[in-house]
Amino acid sequence: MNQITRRGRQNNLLPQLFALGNLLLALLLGGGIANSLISNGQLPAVGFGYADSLQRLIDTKKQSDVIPDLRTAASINFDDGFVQLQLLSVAYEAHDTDSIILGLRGLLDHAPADSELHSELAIVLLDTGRLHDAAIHSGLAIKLNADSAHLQITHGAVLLALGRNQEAADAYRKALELSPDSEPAQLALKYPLKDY
Amino acid sequence: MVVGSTSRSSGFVGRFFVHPIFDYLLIGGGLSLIVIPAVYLFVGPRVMLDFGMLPWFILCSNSAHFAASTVRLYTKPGARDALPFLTMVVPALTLGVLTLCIFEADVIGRYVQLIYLSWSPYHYAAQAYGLAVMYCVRSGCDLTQNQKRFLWWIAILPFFKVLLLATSKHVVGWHMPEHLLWSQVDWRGGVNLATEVLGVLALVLPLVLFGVVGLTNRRRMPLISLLVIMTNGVWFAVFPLIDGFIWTTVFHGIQYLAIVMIFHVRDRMASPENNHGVVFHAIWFYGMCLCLGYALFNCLPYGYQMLGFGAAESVLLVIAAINIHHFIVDGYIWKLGRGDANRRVVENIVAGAKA
Repeated sequence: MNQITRRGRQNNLLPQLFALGNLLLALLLGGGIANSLISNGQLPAVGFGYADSLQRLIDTKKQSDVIPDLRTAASINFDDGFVQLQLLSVAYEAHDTDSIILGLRGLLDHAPADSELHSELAIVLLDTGRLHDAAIHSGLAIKLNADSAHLQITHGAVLLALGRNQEAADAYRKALELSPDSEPAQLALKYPLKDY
Repeated sequence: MVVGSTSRSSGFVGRFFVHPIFDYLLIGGGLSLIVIPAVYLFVGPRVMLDFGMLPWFILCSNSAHFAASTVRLYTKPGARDALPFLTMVVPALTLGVLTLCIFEADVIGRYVQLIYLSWSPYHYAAQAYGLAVMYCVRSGCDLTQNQKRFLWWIAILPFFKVLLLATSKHVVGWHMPEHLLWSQVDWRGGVNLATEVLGVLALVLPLVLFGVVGLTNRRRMPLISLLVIMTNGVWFAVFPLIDGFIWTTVFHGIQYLAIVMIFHVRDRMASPENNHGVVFHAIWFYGMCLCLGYALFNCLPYGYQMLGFGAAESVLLVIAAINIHHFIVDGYIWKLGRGDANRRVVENIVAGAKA
């Protein structure tokens, strides 16, 4: 008797749950269509929905107001290099260092051998006081591209901040070999690294 | 569309459902092997970024195919009684879990995305395996348990390649310390080499199995079974990762829609109450899939935005949830148990094939 009663209750519950699910879905769909008609004046468009919405936000809102949406997009859609680039671009304009780091890291996932990205990240990490992480990336940048004066200069600046003065001097000298007119390298070797 | 019950063929071609050209191009994935090289040749590799009509292609093939599993679930004879939890409870459950995930999108959104992106190539591989085995059954080719097992492992090689690549590219960076992630050890090079090997195996081993079955079994594997497995390998082994996903999205969708419509139409035509022809049932089914696909992928995210959530999490997590729901449903609606409607369709002319 109990089994039949329990089965009976289950048989009643399942259609109710189904009806509830359908009701919720209908409400969300109806609300979504209404939302699109009100905000865009048309039915929901066939497209890559959030990319268009994000671009509209970028075009119409203050940069700093858009960053939370871009960060969410970049965090969820980690596989999308374009959204990482959008985040980076807006973050630079808004001088949002945390978001710059997020964007650069996201782009590095796609291009781990890009020396410029590594160097850029090193500069930002240096500015935020994360010296050891900065050294990892500036070191990697010159390993990937040993013939770039400005990458050597960045590496030199990071090493100088870490107190590794001899290594810093070597990096600046390498920069001067590659670009004899480099003022940052000349200045660094003339003043803080005079004795190295 | 010809859906007669006595589709005869030679042993090499296999026993097709509709017509060899239809089965090979759409279900076998042969169309992709023609279209993709042609597109790259005449338009160039940036076609994926520049193609304005791509969202419409995705709606008509991919979005419709996700909806197709749901439409099939609710129209398949006996499904509601056989799968009460799946038909009655899972939709509400999915909506509930989706809503909770959107609330915490910043924290768990990436993991939901990861589940969906990882499950996708597994799902495509499982579909390829299922179709390959189905055509073997229809064509009277009795694969041994070991051969089926071998076929399974070959089919999911592209999945392992994608999983390895995606893990090394993204997941590792989420949790690994900076000094290990960017250490002197070229672990990325090792991963790339491993993925290249997996890609080559995904293309070579199907040919090996085809040859072995041809030499040892009473009947050889039909060519379409080999084609299905190889096209899945090509999609993920030959193209860069993101391109592979997009091409697979389109052609897997076409493949799925073709086979599910065949099953639906045959079920409807076999029903004693049926008053309509093949074309009606095909158009009805596809029309429902298109409408539901549009509603789920394009309207539902606006519903969450109406509740105050951002565009990104609304769109991305709705897509992920629909995908995951589809993967779950698909695991049930294609079973070939005794008395199942699917089995009647597959076995319809097996007796003729074995004669």
